[in-house]
Amino acid sequence: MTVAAHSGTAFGTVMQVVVTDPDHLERATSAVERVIESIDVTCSRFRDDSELSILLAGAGRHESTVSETLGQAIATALRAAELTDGAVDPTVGGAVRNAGYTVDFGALAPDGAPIALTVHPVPGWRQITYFPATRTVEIPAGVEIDLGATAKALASDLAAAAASDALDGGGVLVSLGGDIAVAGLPPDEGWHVQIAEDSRAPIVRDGETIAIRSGGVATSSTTVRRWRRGGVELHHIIDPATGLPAISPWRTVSVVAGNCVDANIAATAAIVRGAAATAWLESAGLPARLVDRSGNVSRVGGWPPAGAQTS
Amino acid sequence: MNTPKRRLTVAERDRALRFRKRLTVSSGIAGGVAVVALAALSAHTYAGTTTATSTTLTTTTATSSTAPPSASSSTAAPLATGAASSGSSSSASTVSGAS
Repeated sequence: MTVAAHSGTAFGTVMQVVVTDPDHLERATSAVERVIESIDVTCSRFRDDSELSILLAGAGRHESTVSETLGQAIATALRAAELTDGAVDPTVGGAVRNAGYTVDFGALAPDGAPIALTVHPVPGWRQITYFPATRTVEIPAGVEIDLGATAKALASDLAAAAASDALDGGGVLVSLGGDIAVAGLPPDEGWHVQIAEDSRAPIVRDGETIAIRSGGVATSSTTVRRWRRGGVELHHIIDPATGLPAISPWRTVSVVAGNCVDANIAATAAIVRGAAATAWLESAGLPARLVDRSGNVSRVGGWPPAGAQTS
Repeated sequence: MNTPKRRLTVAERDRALRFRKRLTVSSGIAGGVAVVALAALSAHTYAGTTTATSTTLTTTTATSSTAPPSASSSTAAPLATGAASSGSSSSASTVSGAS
């Protein structure tokens, strides 16, 4: 497979653009970067000047009109919550902050003084009212929303679509920290994606690899974005029922879906749902690979069996 | 010892009949409202999970005088399925992992 790739950084992680026609790389990358900037300036909770930060600063029982991009991100987050019975909930913002994740992860101190953690369910996504037709949103005072769980995956989907639109044929793959979306005409043998717990892992000869022709792949894990406070290991996947980092039998879940957002929703929900996740993924018809805390791997929903890699 | 019963006057009888009629009509209206409310509730139920809590109900109330903009929570499409086949590490162009 002959492809051309560009790597950079976005959202504090690695951004990768891969195209089937090397002549398309520059145009595709420009289109991807425009989408990333648009998502960042609207959805980041680490930028004081982001539309989300400004919205939350004025949160209360009044309606605010939001941009098309933020509206789409909010609608995506609410849909994720509904489809997962609240396992993926955008109102975890306060809980994430209480757990010590207060700045962009690249600037977060890996170790620090003890912090007080208390079990306290998050406010819940039903506190947010959003009207798509008018793009108005109502957020009660004290409810902090964090779109991080779905906004990065949404950026991958939108970026891949924008890049594909900018090209004259061919295909494109966009990866934002391992949240992968593809668009356009794939390579003959499909897009080959190696599965790892950390998106920064190098491609290795014996690494488990799958091929997709459309849609997206996403991986959620409690093994990355970790930090310590008072000697206690914490991570960024919050269980909305407790408001604390999720305690799950799964440390990493990868999912293939019809788009990157849905893959991300399912992967994150599987971590939070714990033992019930395999049956849920099976019933949803989503190919998934789950790694438990001991490193044992389960494959469900049509995920290719181990050792089936083509040569 | 029983108190002797007094016959109702015509006016008292008519007043009692009017009261019973009002009661019947009120009950009917209340029942109708309940049926409509239950129908609305079931219409907002998705995949066995009731979503007609504050979000959806607020939507209905707040927009009753205009064309109702559907709240995103009441129209969620199910997760879109995808397909994967076996791949080759030698052809892998990227890694899916957490970040």
